[in-house]
Amino acid sequence: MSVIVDIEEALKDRLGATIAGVPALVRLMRKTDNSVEAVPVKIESYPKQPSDQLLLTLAESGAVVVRYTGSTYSARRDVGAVSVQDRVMVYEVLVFSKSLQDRNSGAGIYELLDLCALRVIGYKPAGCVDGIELIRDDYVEEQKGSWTYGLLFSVKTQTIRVV
Amino acid sequence: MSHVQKQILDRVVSDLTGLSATGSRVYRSSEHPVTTATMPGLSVSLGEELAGEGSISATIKVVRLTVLVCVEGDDFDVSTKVLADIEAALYGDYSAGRYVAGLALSVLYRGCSREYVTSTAVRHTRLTVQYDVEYQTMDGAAETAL
Repeated sequence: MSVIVDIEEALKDRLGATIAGVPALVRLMRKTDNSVEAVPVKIESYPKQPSDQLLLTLAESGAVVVRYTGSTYSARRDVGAVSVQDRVMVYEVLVFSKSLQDRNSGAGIYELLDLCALRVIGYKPAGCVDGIELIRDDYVEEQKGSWTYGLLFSVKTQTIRVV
Repeated sequence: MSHVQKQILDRVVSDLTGLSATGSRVYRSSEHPVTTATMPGLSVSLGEELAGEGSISATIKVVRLTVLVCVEGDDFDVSTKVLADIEAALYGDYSAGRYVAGLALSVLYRGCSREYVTSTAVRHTRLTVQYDVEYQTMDGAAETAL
């Protein structure tokens, strides 16, 4: 396994977990009998072969997609038998939705973005040495009424070699 | 034999190894790894040396001892406990009017700076503790403390 994958999996679990005081990531679907059902928003890794059609499908159902965007490393510290570099790993949560703000459906993209941020801020996945720091969120694209926004954040790990 | 500076550093590292909070996490270095596994921990180094008073054939030398204390988080309780342990260990190594296993004429506390560092992956409190260690050698015999 890779640290990158381990953390990505932990992030997906966190986004889908029940957290006290933080609303779940759901969209409300009205059924044919006019009753309303809360359906969890899909939480997935970024598609291996993303296509416009696939991204439109994600927006149609409302989805949150996690991907790793890269790392930066500090200068190396060599002390005795220990070599260490701090690693800041950046992940992006892409949020897909058909609507920007839709309080009735519970799946407007603004609300999903805020809920994703609330779910990850300060969270420390296993193997990390500090909690998540939010970096920014921004507009990615709009296609045929389907919106995509991204939320960028970082986690800190260390690459350590002991001789 | 080795230079008295090295003998002093070896002895100080030995004195500071096994303290209650820092244990065996003592590094002979001016840098610290700053990982969760190495904190709370110490890094011990010697710096600038100046000539003090002396006689015609002997020189008193004053070398700056720096102990870097790294403690995870913004922790005042542990860091001050480590400070107290260091002071007790250094001044406790005293017999027959000499310090540091008889190598030093005196050990003088010179101060301590405190900084909370957030720029590393592991946020930590960093104390830089400084002492002056005074010793004397015959001129031309830097490996034997008088």
